[in-house]
Amino acid sequence: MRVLLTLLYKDFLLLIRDKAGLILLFVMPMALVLIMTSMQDGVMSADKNTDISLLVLNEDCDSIGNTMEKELKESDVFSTHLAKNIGKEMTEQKIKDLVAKGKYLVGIYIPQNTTKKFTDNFTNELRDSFTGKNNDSSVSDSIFIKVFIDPTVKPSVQATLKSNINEFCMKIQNKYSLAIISRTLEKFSGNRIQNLNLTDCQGLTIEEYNVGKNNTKNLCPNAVQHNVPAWTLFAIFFIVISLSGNIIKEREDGSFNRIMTMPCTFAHYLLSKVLLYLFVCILQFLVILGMGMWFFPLINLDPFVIQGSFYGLLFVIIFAAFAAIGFGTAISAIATSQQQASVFGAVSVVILAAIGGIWVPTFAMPNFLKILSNISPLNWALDASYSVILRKSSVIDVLPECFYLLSFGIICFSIAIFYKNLKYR
Amino acid sequence: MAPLLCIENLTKRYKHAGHPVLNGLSFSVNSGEIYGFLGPNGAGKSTTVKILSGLISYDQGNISIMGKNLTDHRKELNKHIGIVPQDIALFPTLTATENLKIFGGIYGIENRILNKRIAYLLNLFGLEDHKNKKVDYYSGGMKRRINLIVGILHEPNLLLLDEPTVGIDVQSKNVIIENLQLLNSYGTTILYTSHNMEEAQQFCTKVGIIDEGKIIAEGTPDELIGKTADCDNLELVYLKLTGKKLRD
Repeated sequence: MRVLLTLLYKDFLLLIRDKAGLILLFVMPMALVLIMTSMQDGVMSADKNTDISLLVLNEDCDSIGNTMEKELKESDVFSTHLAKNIGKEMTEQKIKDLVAKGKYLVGIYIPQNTTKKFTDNFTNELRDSFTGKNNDSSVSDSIFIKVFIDPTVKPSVQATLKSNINEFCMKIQNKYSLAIISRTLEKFSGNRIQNLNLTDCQGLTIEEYNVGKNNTKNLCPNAVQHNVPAWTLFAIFFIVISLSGNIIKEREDGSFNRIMTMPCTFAHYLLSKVLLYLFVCILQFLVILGMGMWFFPLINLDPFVIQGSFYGLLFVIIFAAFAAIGFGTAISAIATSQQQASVFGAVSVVILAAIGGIWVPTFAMPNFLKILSNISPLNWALDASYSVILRKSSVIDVLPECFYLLSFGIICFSIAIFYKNLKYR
Repeated sequence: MAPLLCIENLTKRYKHAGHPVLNGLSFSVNSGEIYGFLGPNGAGKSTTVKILSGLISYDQGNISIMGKNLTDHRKELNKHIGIVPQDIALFPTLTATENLKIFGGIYGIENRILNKRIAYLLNLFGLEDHKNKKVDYYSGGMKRRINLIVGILHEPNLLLLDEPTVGIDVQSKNVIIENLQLLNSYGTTILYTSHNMEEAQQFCTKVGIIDEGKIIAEGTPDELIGKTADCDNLELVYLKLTGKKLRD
């Protein structure tokens, strides 16, 4: 016990004297969580104000045009600017040019007589249906509400924009269609009929439920729920650079050999590293967790919420840390210099993080990368974290992932012991 | 009286090496001796010290220390062996006191005793004023002295010194040799390797010259000088026995 405590004291002193290492262990992941969450917040959260600048030119100046203007103005999705408020004389071409120059991300042009044409078309169609006549001449031209989108906008965002604008159009079209139907029915029946309003009736409504426990791959966490565990795990695995560097430094300066000539076993030596770096990993987890829970709301980001048990998440983190420490130890055993270890450690962790879904969640990956992600310990840990955070999974539910992480760690430690014994011979 | 260290027919061949580095090496060191283990580069000195330290294994032979087989009682015997490696083996980002507390702690020395010994040895080796300075900022001589203190902190019965005075000034060398003699006077047996024949002649009570993995001459410095013709110092004896041909 005395030997272990002394080794822990030694490792602790070496760690706190390494200022660059401490920055790498704590400041870098905090900065990454903050930057990545802020960046992804708008993209991954559908209900967030993404501040998409939109310019509307309403030449209809009638019911449909005015309603559309009003609805867009009240929308959370868009930051709507009305052409009539800009002060310059606007035309369809000018709107197109402004969007092309990138002044606005989206431009909407509502042409003259939109309301009149829609009312005429729909009334005629309805009358023909009631009377059984088919009078093609009564139908006026199609109505085109033109939408201009900045070409630099990503296709996925374009699709979201189109879907949002379509939804607005459908909503307004339905409202006016129902008003016309009401008037027509009144005419035919001779009774007074109030305008139909489907928004108040029990129509088809979609209710979403986040069902826990199964089907992990279909889970879509928001930016905070993704980035907090993801970058915590990245930080945990990034300890391989500090850990392998420290071990190789001790080997190079001869202190490792000296310790091995004393009444101290390699198991003592490894156990001290495991305990210290486990403490570091838990501290990293708590710091990033605290940041997600208390600091994020202060900067207008969603707070990090664990749906399941905190201890469940801590359990996953401990196993991930064990795997990371094993990986770092194995790298230090194989690498012949600090430079080699830091380059190999950094590159391998970045690759494992990339395919493990740290940067882009696996649900957003192409199929072959989804399959490849299964070999990354970061992916096992991230999946287990999602289970606890989003699916309210218990410790028992995440045992398979923890077992994989434990096995990975044991294999890595075995490699380190094998290499140490090889050198002893 | 049984020797403190007894090595019999020790053989060691490194993987991919043509010849064995130790080829039936046999010698013994009696309690209280300062044994000079001398030889040219590649003769097998450092390999022998590494085997005694437990850093590498050996192929054949037998080693006993204090009457106990080294392989069977490694853990127990490590407490009685002090090692001062040729290269400085310290934690450069830690202070002298921190280094000594750590190595002393690994030897299991009780804190109260350890603190007293650290204070005594730092004073003895003239490092009292620098005890809270990081080892990285020490001069070569100061690092050598701390390196030596680590090896004697637990008051070992057998001290293995691998070129302890290489690359330092005369003053530091003098302090080290004087204190090693003091330590020896308290009963510590010393196995000392060096290329400095003058120092070995003055310091050692017995000398063994190793070449090609086995002892080729052994005795007190005076005995070796006396029985080798035309030689009036240990360096000439050494050159006569090992030749002037370069070894590396």
